[in-house]
Amino acid sequence: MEKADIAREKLEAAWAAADRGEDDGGLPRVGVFGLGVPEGAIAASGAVCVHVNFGPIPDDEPMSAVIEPFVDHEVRVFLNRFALGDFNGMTAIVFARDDAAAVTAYQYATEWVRQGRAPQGVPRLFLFNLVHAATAVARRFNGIQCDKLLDFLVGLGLARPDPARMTVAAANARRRAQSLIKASTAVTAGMAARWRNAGRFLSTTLHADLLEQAISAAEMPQPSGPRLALVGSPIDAPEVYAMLDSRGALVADLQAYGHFWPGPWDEESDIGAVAAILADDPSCPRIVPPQRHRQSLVDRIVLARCNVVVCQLAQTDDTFGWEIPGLAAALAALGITFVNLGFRDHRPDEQWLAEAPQKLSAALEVAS
Amino acid sequence: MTYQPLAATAVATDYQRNWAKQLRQEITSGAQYAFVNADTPHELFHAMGMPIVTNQWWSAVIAAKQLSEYYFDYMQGQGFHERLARYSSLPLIAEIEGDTQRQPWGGLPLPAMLCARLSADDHGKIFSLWAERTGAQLTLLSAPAVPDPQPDWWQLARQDWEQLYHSDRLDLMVGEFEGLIADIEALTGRRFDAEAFSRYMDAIDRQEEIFEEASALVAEAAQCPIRISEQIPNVMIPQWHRGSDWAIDHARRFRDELAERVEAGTSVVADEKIRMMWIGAGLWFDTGFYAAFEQSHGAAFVWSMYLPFAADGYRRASNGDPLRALAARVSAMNEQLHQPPWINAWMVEQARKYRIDVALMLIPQHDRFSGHGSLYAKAALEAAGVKVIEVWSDMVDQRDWDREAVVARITPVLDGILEEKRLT
Ligand code: SF4
Ligand code: SF4
Repeated sequence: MEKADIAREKLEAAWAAADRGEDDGGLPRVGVFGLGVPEGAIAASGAVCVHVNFGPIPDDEPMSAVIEPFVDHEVRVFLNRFALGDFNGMTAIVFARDDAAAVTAYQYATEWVRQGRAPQGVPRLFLFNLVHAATAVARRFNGIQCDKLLDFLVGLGLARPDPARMTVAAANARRRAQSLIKASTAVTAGMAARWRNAGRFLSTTLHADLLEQAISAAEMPQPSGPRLALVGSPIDAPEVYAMLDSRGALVADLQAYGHFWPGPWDEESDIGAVAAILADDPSCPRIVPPQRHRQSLVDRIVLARCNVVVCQLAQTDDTFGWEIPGLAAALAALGITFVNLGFRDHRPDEQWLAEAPQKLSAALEVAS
Repeated sequence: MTYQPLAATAVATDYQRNWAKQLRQEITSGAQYAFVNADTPHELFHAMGMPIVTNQWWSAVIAAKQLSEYYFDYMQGQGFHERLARYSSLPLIAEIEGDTQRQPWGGLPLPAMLCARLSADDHGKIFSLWAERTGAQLTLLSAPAVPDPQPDWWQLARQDWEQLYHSDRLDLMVGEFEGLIADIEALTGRRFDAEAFSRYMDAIDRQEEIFEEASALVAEAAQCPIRISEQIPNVMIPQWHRGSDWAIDHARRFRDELAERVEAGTSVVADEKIRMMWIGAGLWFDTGFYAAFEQSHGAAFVWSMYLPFAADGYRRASNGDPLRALAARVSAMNEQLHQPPWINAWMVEQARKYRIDVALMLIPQHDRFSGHGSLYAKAALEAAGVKVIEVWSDMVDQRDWDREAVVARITPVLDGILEEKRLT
């Protein structure tokens, strides 16, 4: 088999296995939940970051009695797996406070441990408390949160992420980012999304290597059809990507499981700069001032020269919905079509998958 | 025996009516005011003499005019989906709808300032839409979480709040308060008076101490002396005006009247057999429901969060730094009611204090920030021997409220308790 084919297979396999993959080069594994964790610093401590909110639905649900129906699907899956001991063997799990799913996961899991109901050997849990504000007091606060994270890593027996180690990690992140840009134009959006998200379970270097090898044989299709953007709740459902790929070129994947990850902060070698970029990241729905979130979506949609913006929502959305009328109006003023496919399950059901393309086709007709 | 309302209740509701009239007068004749969320530091605005309209209060005023349904429909028509928080957004929707004649007071004038705390993600969204509409300056207070919430928060929070809430979080909140104070100073041209503020914070502490005594009276009385439909206004109204002479007087009036009742052996039901807890926001459109099981089962609702929370949620010793004590009060205000282990531990403690048999627990379907921790609390109460009846919020949506259906769900549980106690 060609080297490129092997790399492609490895990326697909890593994405499918999620946190159960074993391509960690024997490094200590630190779990990550949510967007907004300084993963570069964790990598610089000599660990591999492994995202914990993409795994399979477990057969047993030991925590179901304490999880309300409005809790996000990925939180429910994580908590039950956590209570089953699925993450035992990880050194720790780091959660982002400003990611709504992550903070709930942290609080419910921490309580399960406090009540003595978690199995032996569950990893230690750490809440990364960074706030998304730019004032001097917020900057000071965020500096303290970074120090706490670094101390926590050292306390786990990992190396202190000193400037030399941070520099290496940042260089790796930049190399990976370059490969991701290339991948995004080399293969379909669905494939690019899987390849990108495969990196959530691989070291940055291995991810970058595999991407480079995989792209070298890629077909480089010229994107055709209308230029699409995707917004709304975090989504990684292959069926939805396939549907979008069949209708146009998804050039701006503006949601937490799309182009928002990996974040640009990991390309910085100075922890203060990492914190500053994180705190200023408008893709966070908690950014202050909040208007920046929607504005940044509009800016990225315009920059990517999109014709149509596709919105979809998790059943539990209580936040993005506030942006929808304002976003639709801002796009309309720019002559960009907005189509809302509405609520969908984590893996959308047949009815949704049958209706969505019709809504999209209708919108595309309007757009052309 | 028919239930006699407290004299204090009419005093409180009259005061509130006059206050609202005055506020309306003031702001509709051009006074600058701030529109703020319930969990923001109202104390700072009061101390600086800047009138405030509270989002949740104004929402209740709109709802009392039977306008919610109209605005909810309008909201959906505008493209806001039906699972978004409703009660905390009713004022925003009214503002967007724009027909001031439809609104109470002929609509609110433009606020000079907006303030919310980012406890839930949607608060920032709702208030930023207000800011976009009105051009008013928006202050959003950060809400980092407490990573190691200790279960017995209400004990630590009195004195040892620095340890409970953590210095980095308090430094941040104090810093943000200082920014807010500077903004209010710039708007009003008035100076923040640190000494007066210190006295004012002491006055609030005195008021909450009185409510603590009142709570103990209700909890410890052999039989419950007062309906929760009366507890709520007698606490909430002075709490809106906390620290004022009137509020402290009223807290005393309320406590003393309770003490008299206990002394005289007056009770909600003559032969009390079951004590119930109402967990969640008040059922404001059918307060009569609270009395529904008094005759049939000798069951009284004896507990609602407002009275005990006045003490546990508000008493924070100044420890020589009143602004920091205020930060301690605000920095986890609603998390204490919605986050494990804080909520479950507190519920169990309260159920024990009030000798509760049954809890009715309101769980919102979609306003998830205020529903988090509900099932942890349910499990903890059950482990402590309290029967818990879940009431999902669509059942208490005014549009779908079916009193008989809810009564039918509760009746067998109460029958069962009577049987267990061999009281039938
Ligand atoms: S119940 Fe509370 S919020 Fe509602 S009107 Fe009375 S005092 Fe105001
Ligand atoms: S019930 Fe909870 S969310 Fe609602 S006003 Fe009270 S503290 Fe805030």
